[in-house]
Amino acid sequence: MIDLHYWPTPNGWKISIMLEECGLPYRIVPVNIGAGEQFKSEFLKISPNNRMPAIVDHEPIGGGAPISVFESGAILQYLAEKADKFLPKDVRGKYEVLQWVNWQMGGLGPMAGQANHFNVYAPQFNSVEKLEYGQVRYTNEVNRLFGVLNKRLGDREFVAGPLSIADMAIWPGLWASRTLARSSRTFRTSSDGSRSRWASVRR
Amino acid sequence: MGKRPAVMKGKAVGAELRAKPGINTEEQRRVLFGQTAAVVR
Repeated sequence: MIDLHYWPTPNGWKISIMLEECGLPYRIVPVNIGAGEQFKSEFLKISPNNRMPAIVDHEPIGGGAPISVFESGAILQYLAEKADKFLPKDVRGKYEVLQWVNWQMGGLGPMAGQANHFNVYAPQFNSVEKLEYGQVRYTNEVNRLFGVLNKRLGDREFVAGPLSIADMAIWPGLWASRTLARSSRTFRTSSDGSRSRWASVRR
Repeated sequence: MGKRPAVMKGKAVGAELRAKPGINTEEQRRVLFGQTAAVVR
């Protein structure tokens, strides 16, 4: 059994989607991030960066004591290895997938998070003048990243070969970005006008 | 992607936990956006 320390946000969805796709048994351990439960000492032992999701696998690969993993990209990789699904074993296929997982973890995820913050949340408690630079900076970067993704998906159904953990890393935030698209004057769902079947879900 | 049964099921997990999505109170705002180095000391 796998404990999924979780709250229903795009980062949490990455792992709940992966667990459902793999058919692995799991139970939800709610971490109410709005109430500060991510700062509880028991949770910090599992996730020292005080962020969810995190997992504890009580029947880990190779046996032995339970294993805990934090950071959604690392969790996706762990679950792929455990289930032997959604991450190729051959070196070319494996790194084609992992480079897109890391593209999401280091690029689209944090940039979209900042764009969302400056365009959706911050205007509720800051003046327009204070926010303009951040709004333009992060919106432009997200638009660039969406352009990269749209180009990638222009001639294929999934980001890296067949359905993989790269798709499960990228899709939840993309779906959530519909809110951002509605809230920002400068936000564009596509920088070059291209549309793919996969990415069109965000409109 | 979004029409896959497992994706829909995974995205629905725990939906009932968030009665009102978003940042709705000053306390939520402080917890989520007010973290400093002091939080991890």
